[in-house]
Amino acid sequence: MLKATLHRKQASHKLIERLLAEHDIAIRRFVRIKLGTNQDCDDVMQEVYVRLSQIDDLPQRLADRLDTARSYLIQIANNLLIDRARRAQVRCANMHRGEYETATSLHAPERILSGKRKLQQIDKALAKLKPEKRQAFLLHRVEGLSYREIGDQLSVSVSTVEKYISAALLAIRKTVATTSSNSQGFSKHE
Amino acid sequence: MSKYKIREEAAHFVTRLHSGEITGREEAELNAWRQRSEAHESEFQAMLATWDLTAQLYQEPERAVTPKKRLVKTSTWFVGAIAASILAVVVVPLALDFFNTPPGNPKLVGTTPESPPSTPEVIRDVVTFDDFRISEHEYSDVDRAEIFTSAVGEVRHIKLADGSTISLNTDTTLTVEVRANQRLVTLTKGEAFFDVAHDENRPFVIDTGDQIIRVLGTQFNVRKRDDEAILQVAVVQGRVSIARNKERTTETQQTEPKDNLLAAGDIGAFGPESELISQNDVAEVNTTQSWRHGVFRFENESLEQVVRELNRYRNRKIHIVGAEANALRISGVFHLKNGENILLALESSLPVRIVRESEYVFIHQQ
Repeated sequence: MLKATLHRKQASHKLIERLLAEHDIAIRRFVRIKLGTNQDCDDVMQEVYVRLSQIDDLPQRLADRLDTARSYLIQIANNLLIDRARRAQVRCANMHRGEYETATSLHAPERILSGKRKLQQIDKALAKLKPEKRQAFLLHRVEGLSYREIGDQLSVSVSTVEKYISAALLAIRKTVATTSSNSQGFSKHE
Repeated sequence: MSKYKIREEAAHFVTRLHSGEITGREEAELNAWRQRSEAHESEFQAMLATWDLTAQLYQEPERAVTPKKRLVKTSTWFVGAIAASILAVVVVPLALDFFNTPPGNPKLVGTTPESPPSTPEVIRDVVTFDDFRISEHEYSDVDRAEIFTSAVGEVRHIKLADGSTISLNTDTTLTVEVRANQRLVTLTKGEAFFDVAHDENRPFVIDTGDQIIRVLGTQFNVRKRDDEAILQVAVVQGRVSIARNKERTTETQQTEPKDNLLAAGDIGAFGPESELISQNDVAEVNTTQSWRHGVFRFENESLEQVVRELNRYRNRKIHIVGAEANALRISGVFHLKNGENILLALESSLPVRIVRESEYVFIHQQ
């Protein structure tokens, strides 16, 4: 039993090394662009490694999804970046509590409420879209499928999938922009 | 530049960024774009934030607005596989090997389109549509060679007792023999994908005639083509070694045949006289084995090339009339099981007319 677990861990470890070696450049480019700096790349790569090694059924998850490994890694890296940003925001808010009004938006109940409202807005924006655009977007953001897998499922090319997802993102962006006065997360970018 | 235009471009960049496929050149373009004005940079940041906002859709999946369509797994046999290797081999016809190599008492398990499989090995026929079918079998007899064949338009998955799987593409013949000290597959013709379970004591060996492929545990695809004397090998995962078959080495070849090692992402082409290996072409490697799921991808291929590929799967072959039509270019994703739809798609996207006759389908340039 223990031996089997050990064996699985070793296999998983090997897989992670291979994945990171293969997609290192792509993940680093993604992180660099998203953070706007090269500085934290190594840290993030380290976190990606740790996160991957916490996923017990990694080989199963990636089984038969050859085209998806990179897409999957990018999604993991992105989630880590979102977590980092949140932690930084909380730290910052704690440091300046009382100085900035933004601190109130981090109080949990209000945040959940505003999150729900945003989700409703997203729902509405997606509902107005052509079904194939909505479907492509949700298959990627909710189901975690790669663009290529979505293309295969919808029988369209990868570049068409990108057009669909881009159109859906644009629609959501419009909704969020018009209502952003009461959404702290976005106001600072406006 | 209008606000809307900037927003549209930002959406494009953010979509590309999260595909993971953004190139160094695109990165440079994006950086230049962001520096054009304050408005560009802030729109990019806002678009990134919008994308991340939808991450909440993950956490509350019940809020998804449309009924979710699950990706249907083509075959549960591949659960547990990590990634796949592709090995494609093109060799001159080897009709004689067919009778020479299989030891023991070969038994024909294959099927022709006219006589559907009825042997106990057949678990189920997964797909039956037009010319294209996918079926699954099990092979468990140790020490007995067994011949498997797939008909034109058929993809056949075979599961071995050790956990390995072999997938036969259209019009393929191979022999499987599992012994105590070795697992031997003789590929007589066609193309096969191998997902090999690791077993140090029993190496997995594939004899393609001119080449011998050795693996310990990996996945790969072997293609033997009869239109060119070339063997192509593409590796998705693990390593395989390819060596010339010493028994077939002619006296004119003075040097000792050397082994070629292929790693994940490599594609090797082995001809009678020459070898060519392209390294780290992961996308191409992946494309070479999409047939396992009955999917076809073309990126700016000539009609001639596409038709040649499609004809491998068809009984009623397609002929192109007129040399000019050969050079027409197409891109797209096709599902093999929708044979007629592919023809309709060609007709609607290219300046061609399809004429169906009893034995052939003709494509005329308009």
